Order: sequence, then C-alpha cells, then structure tokens
Amino acid sequence: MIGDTRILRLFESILDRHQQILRSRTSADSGHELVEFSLGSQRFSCRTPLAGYRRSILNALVNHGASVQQSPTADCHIAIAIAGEDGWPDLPDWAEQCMRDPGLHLAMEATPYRYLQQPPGCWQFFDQRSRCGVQLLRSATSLPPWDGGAPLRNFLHWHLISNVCGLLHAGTLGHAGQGILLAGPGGSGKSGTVLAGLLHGLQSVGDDYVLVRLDQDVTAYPLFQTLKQDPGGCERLGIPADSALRRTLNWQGKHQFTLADLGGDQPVDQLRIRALCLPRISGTITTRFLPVNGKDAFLALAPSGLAQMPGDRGILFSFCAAVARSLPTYRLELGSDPAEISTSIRAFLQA
Amino acid sequence: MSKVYSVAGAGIYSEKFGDDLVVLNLNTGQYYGFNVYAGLIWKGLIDHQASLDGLCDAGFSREALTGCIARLEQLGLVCPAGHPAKAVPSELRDTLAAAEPNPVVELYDDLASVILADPIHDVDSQAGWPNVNGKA
Repeated sequence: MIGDTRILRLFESILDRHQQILRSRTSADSGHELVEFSLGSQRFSCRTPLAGYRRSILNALVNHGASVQQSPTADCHIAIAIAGEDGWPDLPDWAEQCMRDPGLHLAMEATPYRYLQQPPGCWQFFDQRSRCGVQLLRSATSLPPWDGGAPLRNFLHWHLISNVCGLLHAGTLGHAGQGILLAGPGGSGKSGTVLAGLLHGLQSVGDDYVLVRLDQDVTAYPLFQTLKQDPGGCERLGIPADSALRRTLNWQGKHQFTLADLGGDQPVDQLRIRALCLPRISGTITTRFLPVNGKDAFLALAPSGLAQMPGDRGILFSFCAAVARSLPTYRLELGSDPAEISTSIRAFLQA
Repeated sequence: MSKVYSVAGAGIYSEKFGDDLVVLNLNTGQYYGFNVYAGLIWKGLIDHQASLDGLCDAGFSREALTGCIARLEQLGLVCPAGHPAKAVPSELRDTLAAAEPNPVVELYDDLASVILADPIHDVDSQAGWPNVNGKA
C-alpha cells in the first residue's frame, strides 16, 4: 500500500511529461542529444540535455549498433532531465523525504513504477507499462560520480529483467566462446581475475555487470566495457606504471579503462556459460576448481545485485536462483600467478 | 482446530537448491539459509499448506516443528492463517524419513544495511552507493 498517494501522482506527472515529449517532439527537446543502442533484440533511446553525456554513454556501453538516428521503434525510451527546466517538474522536499523510506521500493512493486534516489541529486523513474524512464537531476552537475562506469544501468535492469533474462553482478572469462561467471562480494577477486585472464589471452563480456539469458543454455552478453582496478592490483598483475591503462584514476582512486583498451577482439559478443565460480584468493600455488553447492553459489551471486538494483528484486532473486541451479558451481581457489590462473581456467573450459 | 500458516505478507520469496532452501524477506533485507529439515517444514507448511498436526502425523518431530515455526514467526516470515489445511503429499513423507530432525535457519544480514539504507544520508560519500557509512 502506498500511504501517501502524492508520490504516485508525482511519478505519474514526471513520466507523463516524458510521454508528452515523445508524442510532440517539439522545441522542448531541441538541442538535446540523442543516442540509440541495442542490447540483444531490444532497442534503447536516450535523450539528454547534458553536453557530453551522450559520449559518456557510448564510451561506457559496449557498442551494439549505437547511433544518433532517432527511431520511433525503440523499445525503451529514457530521458535525462534537469528539474525545473524545459517543463520538467521540480522535486519537492516531501518527495525526497518519502523516497528515503526503504519500504517505498517494496510498496511500489504493486504499481508500474520503479525508482532510485541517489546523491547528490539524481532520481531515476521508470514506468513498466510505457517502458519509459526519466533520470531527473537537481542540476547539470548532479550525476553521481559512479554513473560514468555504468550509465543507465537501472533502466536496463528495469526494462530487461524477466524470468529468463537479466543483469547479473558478475565477472566473466572465456575461451573459444565458452565461459564462466565469477560471482562474489567486493574484494573476492572478481575484477582482478577477469583482468588477469584478459591479460593472458582469455575472453570476457564484462567484469562487473553482464546481461544473462537463460534458455537451454546460459549465455552472457556484454553491457558495459568499463574495467576498474586499484593501483595495487595493477602492480600485482604486472601492468607497468606508465601503461596507457593506468592513465586515468576514477572517483574511487582506481584506474579505469575499457575492454577495448586491452586490444584484440574484446569484448566478445557472447559467452556460453559453462559454470558459476566463486573466486577466493587462496594464496596457493595452483588454481583449483572445487565443487560447491548451489545454495552457496546463489548466496554469492544474488545479494550484491539485489542491493545495487532496487525494484523487481523478487524477480531478480528468482532469476539468480534459476541461473545457479542451471550451472555446475565451483569455488575457484585462485593461485598466485595470473598466468597460471588463466591457464587453469582455459584448461577447465577445454575439458 | 490445528494451526495453519502462510508467508507473513508481500516481499517474502523462497528458492530451493537441492535439499536446501533460501528465503529472502525484502521488508527487512534479511535472507535465510534453511537446512534440509527446516526446508521440509517450509515446504509442508507454506508450499503444501499442511497444518501443524498434519505435519506431525506425517512424521515431523512436534518439538522440532513447533520450535522452527516459532522462530519463523519471530523472524516475520510466517504468520497464522485461516485457510483450510491440505493433506501432506506422500513425497514429502518419503523425503522426511531420511532427514535428521534438526531444523536450522541461518540468518544473513549483510544485505539488510544496504536495502534499508537511506540513499542520501546513510551512504558513504567516498565509496558511494551502495556502501553504507562505516561499511565501505
């Protein structure tokens, strides 16, 4: 139950404004940049008044036929907007207060609306019926610093989540089109393992969030091409201090680069997933794959994604469970040599 | 009349992994790992809508059953219901025969602090969402 119906009316008014713009395409959106991209069969369109945000999206997203041509056939329309400008409403104080109540996410599950409130002044709204989303900003500088690594992520989640498809918080490594999912909390070695593999000839479709489809097989597709690694991790992986990969430090003090920066054909278009692995830095000489039960694998896979992507958490919980049940599950005891880790994973996939 | 139970409202989801069960309560952000016996109790009580007495007649230990149900009520996962009791299916009786009567429900609350965080005031300004103050 939504105790305060004003919040529903506010969501409606924001998303109605978007519908209005889509219908009229009047001067209200002139001068805005438009970017369109596809993920699988789904086509997304994003309109933004922020100079450079189109470039930011294209830099972060794996290029799936991205274009700036407006198509009326997009399956999901997203608008970036500044509150109080171009006819967009301001966000009243009571609404911010209301959205601080974590119970509102669960209450909203009974409605078509999904939302996320992020500091310093960024609100994302999504309507499941119209498949329209709005990212409302307090000002042009109100994007959260972490947005650049995975822009529009929650809209992709809200649009794509189903019983057979969704965004998973997992890394990937592969060889010859066959791959493994790497799941676990921060610090478990996911990103370092992906980067170690990439530096030693393995393939990947991402190290943080990937799109996973479940039918007869489990298949992972790339979403974002951003990779991050702290300076210590780069040292351990033998990436020299003067490497181009280490030119940029992000807001967390991590080096940020892209899969394409590593050269080769990264990311690959897809990986057929053969196992769900839980990496653990073991300090042993050799890497080992030790069977682990499905429940433990699920508990490594599901919580971080559930925490980071509010809305439709019940469906995501079930989808993570279905993926964990569909795959052999292993504890991946990581050896200390990145080359040996990569060789072991390659051998595992070839077996 | 023997007691029957249902899940205690919206936002409670369960998934089975072999003989184990995981239950998520989005109202609290907590999730729970059930061992085999606790999973069988959940299955009989919630999935099959059997009554407490019906489950005892099917072979569940009354002591284990009442203790487990009390814990599930305390955790806000189940509550007394008014629906008519259904029969315990034979496959549940068969599985029960091989299970130790030691129901265990493990609590995991690492997700709770993030799901229940105020995204403006509780977030670590350096580490960013979803790191909660003091937990980044």
